[in-house]
Order: sequence, then structure tokens, then C-alpha cells
Amino acid sequence: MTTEQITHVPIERVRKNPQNPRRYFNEERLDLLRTSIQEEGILVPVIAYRTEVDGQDEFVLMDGERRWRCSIDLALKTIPAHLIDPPTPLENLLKMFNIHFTRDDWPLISVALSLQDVILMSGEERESRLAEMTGLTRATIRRAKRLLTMPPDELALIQSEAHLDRSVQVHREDLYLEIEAAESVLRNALPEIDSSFTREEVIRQFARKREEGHLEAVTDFRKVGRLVKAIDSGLVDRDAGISAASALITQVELSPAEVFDKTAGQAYEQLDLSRKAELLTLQLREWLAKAAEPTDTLRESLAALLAEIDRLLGQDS
Amino acid sequence: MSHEFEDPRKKELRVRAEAAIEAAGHELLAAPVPIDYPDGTSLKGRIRGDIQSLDGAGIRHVYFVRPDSERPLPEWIRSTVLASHSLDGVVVHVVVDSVSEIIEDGARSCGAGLLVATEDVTLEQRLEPTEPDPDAARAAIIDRAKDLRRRLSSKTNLNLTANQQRFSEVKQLTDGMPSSTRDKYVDGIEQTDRMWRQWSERLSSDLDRAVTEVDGDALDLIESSINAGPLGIEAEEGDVG
Repeated sequence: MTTEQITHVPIERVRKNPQNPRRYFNEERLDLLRTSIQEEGILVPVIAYRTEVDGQDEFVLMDGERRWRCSIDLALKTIPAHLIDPPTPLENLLKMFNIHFTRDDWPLISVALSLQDVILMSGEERESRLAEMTGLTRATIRRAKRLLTMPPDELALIQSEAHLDRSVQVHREDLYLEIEAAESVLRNALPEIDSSFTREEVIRQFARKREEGHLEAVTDFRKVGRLVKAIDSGLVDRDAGISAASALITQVELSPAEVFDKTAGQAYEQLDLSRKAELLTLQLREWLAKAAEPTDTLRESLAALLAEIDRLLGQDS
Repeated sequence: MSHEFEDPRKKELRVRAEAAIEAAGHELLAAPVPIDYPDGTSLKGRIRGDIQSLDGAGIRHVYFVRPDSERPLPEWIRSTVLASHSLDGVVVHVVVDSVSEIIEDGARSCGAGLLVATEDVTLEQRLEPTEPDPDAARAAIIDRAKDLRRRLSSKTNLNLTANQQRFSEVKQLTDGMPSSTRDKYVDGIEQTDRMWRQWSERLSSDLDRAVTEVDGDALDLIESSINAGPLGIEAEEGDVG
């Protein structure tokens, strides 16, 4: 790759990079850049490579799509560019990752789809190697790969909202990562669920809960994992647990939190109380061994506790 | 004209506005035609807008479509409108789908027309394009805001460049380290970048608002924020920016 001097390229001959997945720019976020360019011009040249289309030079952007977009809005005639040699398709894609290191500019869905292209072109699947090639962290690569397992229709929904502010997005990447984890846990732990519902069905039903406003937070789906744990550990009867999981899938209006509270919530509470009771028993035994005289305050607290215990166990105090 | 990059919210408002402009009897231009700024202006580029039309008297109307009217009118549109007043035969409007005090004040302060797209394919004229109010206090605020914006931009760019330099050295610096260490380092760089950008965008919007509201106190707060940086620590000598 060679870098030439700055070339002032006609705006109308510039093209976006086909490998840059970003499609939409939030208008307001560009206002600062437009103001800066209007007042001071483009201080940092874009990076582009020259190509020929129908006998005319065209310039494909490697870096600087926002600056280019603002230049169009401001009707600049030319844009300063460092021209580089045309890269191979894989080089092009990897350069896009490494130049645009601020992944905040790229929604996870965009990272995921581009990563998919890198995997296909390079044949490389190892997380460590993909991390080195793209500059992404391994955690991001894992998350991107998980997102890519979503059905195409769901991916399309995520893409359609990627440009919006997170606060107004319905089909967010983190929603689907939570859904993916919940669906995976159900399928692995409960073969009955696996045989009754397809993966696509479960994911769609879970997404509908968000669409129709039946979730308090996307992290509600973590209750599914706790439900499964309760079934596995025998805290919840297996048949009751499977029935609850099925209802969670078939009844969109049921939230994971509701199902969990009805089925396993009480069991976990009792487990928690039981542990606290054991701890208190232990502490009292240790204290008794010291043969110290209880204060009036302690006597009153223990009497109140005894009264509650008697009520719970159905005896008179 | 390609609208490939257009935010769908803006596209929807733009389409409605175009229909209303045609229904009002204007000749809608297929693509906005760049208009040179008047001589003597230091602004880069030309006047373009999102939509242009010609009325029966041959006056060129330039429209800026703003899908979020809760945000103040940005400086670049204000500057464009102010410059346009020196041009014959050109008027500039801002198009919104609902009116807020901040957008109305912004349009009024620079003399832009303000049009509201209604449900029934019309544009309601909330403000006529007019000469801006030659308010000395506003002029002082504008000058000070410009200066603060330059400082904000400069400080942000310097720090982003320094951070980018760190990223370019990642391979070299983390050579031989466990991948988890490398990942943490990259995460840190990304977070730093995000922090500077979000801080800068927020303050830029605050500057726009302060100019619209002619709020000198707000500019004082913004100046303190610029000095302190995104971490809220006063800059020491030797720090970047």
C-alpha cells in the first residue's frame, strides 16, 4: 500500500465502500461535524482508492464516510483525500475494521455481518486469529457470532433499526443476545421443549414479548436460566417446570419474570429463608456456648421471631 | 439524488414536505442546486438544503428538514440562513413535523422560515423568513459560542488522534501478552474514544441551545466543561488540549 500526497477529489466522483456496512447516519450526530467543516473545512483528508468506471475515475472510500456525507450536505465541490492502492476484497474488509476502530460507530449487527464476510473470505474461524485480523476483542467476536445465529428475518429487523437511538429501538442486539441465551438454555436442558418448538418459533415468540410491551427489561430473559436451574436442582417439579416453559413460549403476554415468580420464585425464596435460618441457628448455638446473658432487645427480637415461626408452622405461641 | 444514507425519519418527513410543496403550486426541483454564498463570507461550501423549489415569482426556496424538533437548530444551518439574507431571490426554511420552543427560537434568531408538515399534505407556515433581529447581546453570544466550539473541536480532535495512535500500537504493545490482556487494552481504547465523542456531541448540542436561548450562563458552564474534559478533571499543563 502506498500513500500519495493529498488529492482534491470531486465530490460527485466519490463512492462509499461496499464493505462499509453502515447505512444510516444519525442526523443530529453529524451536526457537529457539519458545523466544523463549514467553518474550517475538512482538516483530515479521507482515505480512498482510485477505480475506473465507464472510463472515468471514481474514488472508493476506505475512511471518511461521515466527512464525505457532510461535504455533500454542505455542497463542497471537492474533498481532500489520501489515495492508496486498491486492496483485495479481504484486505478491504480488514482495513475497514482496523480503520474504524471505534465500534461505537458500528452497531453490533454491522460488525457481525462484516465479520461473517471476513470468515467466509479468509476461511478463518478461530476467535484469537479473527481478533488479531480485525482488531476486535474476542468478547465482541463471540457476541457477533452469537448474533449471527439468529434467523434471517430477525437479523433484518435488527438492521432496520440500527440507525435509531437505542432508547427507541425495539429490536436491539442485546435483546436478541438475551433471547439467544434463554432459548439455548431451554433447548439444552429440556428436550421436551426442543421437540415441541422449533428454534425460530421460540425466538419469534420471545421477540414478540418485547414488541408487544410485555417485558420490563431485556434482562428479564435471564430468569429463564434460573427457572431451568430450579428444575435441574429439583426445587421445581420437572413437569411443572416444563409446563411453565411451554406457557412462556406459547403465551406472548407472559413475561419471564412472571413465569419465574409463579413457578420457581417461591421455591428460591424458601431456599433463601432456609439458608438464613440455618445461619441464625448456627450463630445462636455459638452464642449460647459463650453462656452470655441476652439483652432485653435481643430477647424481644427473638420472641418476635418465635411468634412468626409459630404462625408459619401453624402452632400457637 | 441518492437518499441512500438518509435516516428513515428524515426521509418520511422529506417526502411529506415535497408533496406539500408541490401541492402549494411550487416547482419542486429534482435535486437541490448548490448556491454560492455571498462574497465576503468565510463559510466553506455552498447553500444546498434538503429540498429546493421555485415559486411563481422565481424565488428559490431552500428547505432544511429536521425530524427531531426537540433539538436546537445547529450552528451550520444558522450560519447558512444568516448568509442567505444577503442573496437576492433565495429564502430558507426549516421543516419540522411538530413545533418546539427551542426550534422556533432558533429559526427566529437567524430569520429562517419555519414550516410544520401537517397530516393533510400541507406545510403550515409558523414563521415567515425574515431578517434576523440585530440583537447585540445575541451577537456577543454567537461570537463566544464560535470560539468555544473551536476549542471543543480542537481538544476533541487532539485527544481522539492521541487515542488512535495508541490503537495503532496495540499489536506492538501487547505482543506476547495473553489475549485477555490485549482485549482489555482495546476495550479501554474504544471506551476512551466513545467517551470523547459523546462528550463532544453533547457539548455541541448545548452550544446550539445556548445560542438559541441567548444564555451567557450556559456558555460559562460549557466553558468549564470544555476545560475539565469528559472526566471532569481540570486540564493540567502538559495534558493534550
